[in-house]
Amino acid sequence: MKLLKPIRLAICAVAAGILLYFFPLVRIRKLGSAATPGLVSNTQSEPEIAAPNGTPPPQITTFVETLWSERLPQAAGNAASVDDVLAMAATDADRARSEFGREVGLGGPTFLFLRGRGRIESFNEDECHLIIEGQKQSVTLEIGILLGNAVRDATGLVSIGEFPNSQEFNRLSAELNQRCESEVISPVRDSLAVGALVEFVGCGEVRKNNDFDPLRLVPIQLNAMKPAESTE
Amino acid sequence: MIPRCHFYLSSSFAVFLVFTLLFANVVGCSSHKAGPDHNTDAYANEAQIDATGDNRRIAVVISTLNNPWFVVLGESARDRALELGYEATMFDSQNDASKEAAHFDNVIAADYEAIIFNPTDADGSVANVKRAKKAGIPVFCIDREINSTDTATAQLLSDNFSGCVELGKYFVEQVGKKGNYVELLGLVGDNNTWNRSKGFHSVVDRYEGLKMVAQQPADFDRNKALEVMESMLQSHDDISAVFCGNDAMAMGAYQALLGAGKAAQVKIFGYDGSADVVQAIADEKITATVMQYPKLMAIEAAEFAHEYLANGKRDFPQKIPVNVDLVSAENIDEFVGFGKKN
Repeated sequence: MKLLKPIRLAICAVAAGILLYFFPLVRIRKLGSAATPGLVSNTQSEPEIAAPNGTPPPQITTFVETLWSERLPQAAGNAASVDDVLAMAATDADRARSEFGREVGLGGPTFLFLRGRGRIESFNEDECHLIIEGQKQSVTLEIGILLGNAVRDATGLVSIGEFPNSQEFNRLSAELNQRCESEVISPVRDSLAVGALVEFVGCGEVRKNNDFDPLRLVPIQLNAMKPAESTE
Repeated sequence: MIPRCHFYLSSSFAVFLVFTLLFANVVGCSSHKAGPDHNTDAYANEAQIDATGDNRRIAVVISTLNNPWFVVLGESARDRALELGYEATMFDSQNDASKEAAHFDNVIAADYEAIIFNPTDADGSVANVKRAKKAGIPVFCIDREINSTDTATAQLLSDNFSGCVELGKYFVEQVGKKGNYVELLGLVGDNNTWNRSKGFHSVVDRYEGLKMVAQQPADFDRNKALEVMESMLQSHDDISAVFCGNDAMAMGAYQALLGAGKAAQVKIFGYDGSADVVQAIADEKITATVMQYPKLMAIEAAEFAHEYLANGKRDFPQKIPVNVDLVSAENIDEFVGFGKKN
């Protein structure tokens, strides 16, 4: 038995050496090298200081001012004719949406940016119903509390991608709606009268094809003539 | 007296045993398939490894899987990625920024090819996306936004503001222009929380008679909403409605109101379109919600990743709003949980 002792020890030492060579108990790894694939670490990574975004967030007030005073009036000249849109929608609403409208994102409504004139059939605090000469469908101008994104999205002048934070992008809608209320609708509210002719540039959205009658628009420009003047 | 030879035998055997165990352990560990550890918040479909042996892997990192809506979101992205021929692994950040960062560490280290990402925090998650970008991994954000226009490859975001404008209009129709109400907010670091709240208030605040008597975060969590609502009811027993930033909180609020015997008097408004709330609207327990489309967003994101990886597409719109729809008793027949009826 005594003879076996050194043999056993030698065997164990050799086995340990082989094992440790192939499977070291400690593995030295260069800092920053890849972790073992597939092992999900529970350790928190080093916090990084977020670098400033490449695109500075638009200053909403300045942005709205430029949009409202310069870009929107210029774009108004390119608004589609409400007569053309309604005429096409009467026969092929899908085509009217694709030819004259624009969609934002996935599965959303079709936004329309239109200009035209119509005669006031009736009106109240919130809505002004217009007859468009030669068209079967009517137009309803929203003149009460304005909500939603039609003004922001119908013209195609602004993209959500310009805004690092969608909250700012949404604030833009509220600002534009308030401008429409205070600078477009309020000044002409007293001039509205049944039978009067109005000229408008407006933004609307269509979710279903029957939203073309009546077609609801938020006016960004609105001129109302007195019935006596508008009968000429 | 114990014979020496017996001692030698025992000690040698012990050494042998130790090394055998060590060997078995090491071999056992090294023979583990490369892939996420299932005990650490990652859920892989191991059957879908590319037959050619290519490393075509997409990570789906989800803010939390403790909410059925996010489970649908994550599983839809994962399943579409699998259909497109990728190995897909889902990671649960458990609404914990440090867990999310650890997932990114591992996803980057494991050379995933793309990340479909539902962030935990609009600002805090930007650094993770930057790390992935630096490593050359495209990131497609879904549902929740990061506050950056040049870090993610694209962001598919529910149009929460518009959804809550519609919900706000319906709220005024149902509650009237006068009355007290409370609001349960989601996670305060998440843009969705505020887009929903601000969309709702852009309507409701225009009516002076509608007064919000309490507003408190419940972190999009049903149990927390139950507690918060119970607490609110102790100090405000004269409310006619509660607006909740998601459906899980709406269900929590409903439980609290039911417990207080006020479920019939107080109208509850949620957001998400989860299966239980769609059913609750049909049962007239909840007044309305807004249907988001998690499957649409997730599938689109997986297809974007495929376009990027397989077809070299790079010109993705930075942020893409995804339409949402108001769901109420008037149109409940059109909807099922998480989407429209086919």
